[in-house]
Amino acid sequence: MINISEEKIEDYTGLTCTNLMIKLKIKLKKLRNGNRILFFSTREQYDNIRKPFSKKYDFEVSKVDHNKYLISIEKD
Amino acid sequence: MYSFFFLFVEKIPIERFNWLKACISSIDKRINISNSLEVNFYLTGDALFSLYDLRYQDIWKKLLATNKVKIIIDFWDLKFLGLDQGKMSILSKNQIIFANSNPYGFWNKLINHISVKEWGKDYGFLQMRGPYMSRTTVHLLRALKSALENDLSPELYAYLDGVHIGHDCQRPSEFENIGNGLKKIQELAKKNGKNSQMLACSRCGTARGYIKEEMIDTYHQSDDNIPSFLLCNLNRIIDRFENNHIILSPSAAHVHISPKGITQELKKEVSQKKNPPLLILITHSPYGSEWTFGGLSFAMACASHNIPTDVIFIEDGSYVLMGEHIVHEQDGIFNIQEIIEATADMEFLQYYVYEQSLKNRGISRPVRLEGLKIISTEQLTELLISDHASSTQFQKRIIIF
Repeated sequence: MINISEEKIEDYTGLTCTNLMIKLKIKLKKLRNGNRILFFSTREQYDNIRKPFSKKYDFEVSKVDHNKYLISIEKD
Repeated sequence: MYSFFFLFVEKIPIERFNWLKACISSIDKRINISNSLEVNFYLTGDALFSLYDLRYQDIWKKLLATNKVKIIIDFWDLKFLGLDQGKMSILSKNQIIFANSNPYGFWNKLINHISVKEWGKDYGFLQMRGPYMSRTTVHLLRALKSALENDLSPELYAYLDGVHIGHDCQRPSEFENIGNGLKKIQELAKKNGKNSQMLACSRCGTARGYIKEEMIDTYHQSDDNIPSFLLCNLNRIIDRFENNHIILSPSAAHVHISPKGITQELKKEVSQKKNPPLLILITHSPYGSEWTFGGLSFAMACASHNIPTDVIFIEDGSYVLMGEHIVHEQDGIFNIQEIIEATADMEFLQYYVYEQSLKNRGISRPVRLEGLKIISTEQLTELLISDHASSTQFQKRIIIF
């Protein structure tokens, strides 16, 4: 289960898989170590980003609804 | 043996001819063994004007001087454009081939010359321009039809403005009806017991109003499209690029490299390999059209599928390094320079910019981008022939965006 405090959760469910990949890569590049990005994705998006991002970052996921996932990617 | 098959359906910029000439000359010097290099220029549509335009004559002469270059001319289009065969004085007769005078002769010759069947039972075409504004759509129909004539399964991948070709109820008054042409291809394929996949990028389709729903199936039939022209995630199109069959585009090339003495068994084995490398040439300015973002998205998607992908910013594509881009959120667009820097760490993706293109534009102090290498003509040549996958035989796809 992902712990959520006061952080803003972005909704990326409307993005295509490639555009989500670009957005996450740009955000992660700018992110400081120890910080994370938190967002909602669809199942297809989750399937697409899980492998490339879990290799390099701390990747967590929780299913929150049918076809809606809360994802946390932390840069350590 | 290095075999290049360049297909040019649209006007070829002179700058492109210049770097091609430099690269071919460089390859020829490196190999330096007779009959080990073969360069074929398949010309149709507006590309045929280069054979008559005075500005191109010196370049053609130098290219043809190697004796390893052949030009294959679409004789049907040559006549259509009113171009006189007898006025091609610069061309040596044994280096020029006129493909049969019917609309499909040129495309049949290309299929047989590349030996498309050795690479698989499918034959794909990536279309990125829409109907009527671009005559490349007429050539697309000819290419797909000739695939069927040659017992191949035609596949169409529609991307960027190319998604418009599948719009239903097209009723041009003066032009060949592209939508009906696609339907005829589907009917003919069915009759011949062949598949005729027609896939269109859903991101491009959504942007252009073909998808009204929030959620769609993996393959979506839009009410606005002809039957079986299906919208899908770009990744489903890239699934097809993992296979080794021949895929062309109106400005594209197929590079085939095979060592001497290769056995039939090994040839068969290698021709069935997955994930042939891809070279994407980005030739447009960064934001003036969708070409650059489209090319980058396509490259990223391929790299995500473990397809070794090189992206070269060349010709007007080199404008990407002219200054630092300041893109605000309200611009509603990705910063191209940020995309390059953020994605350069992808295992199967490499970025380059061609030095001569920068020089031609007076970009003497280009912006430095992490992960983007400036390359010379020698290095560009190396990328055209480099083998990512195997030390035996392979094909490389080259697509010009």
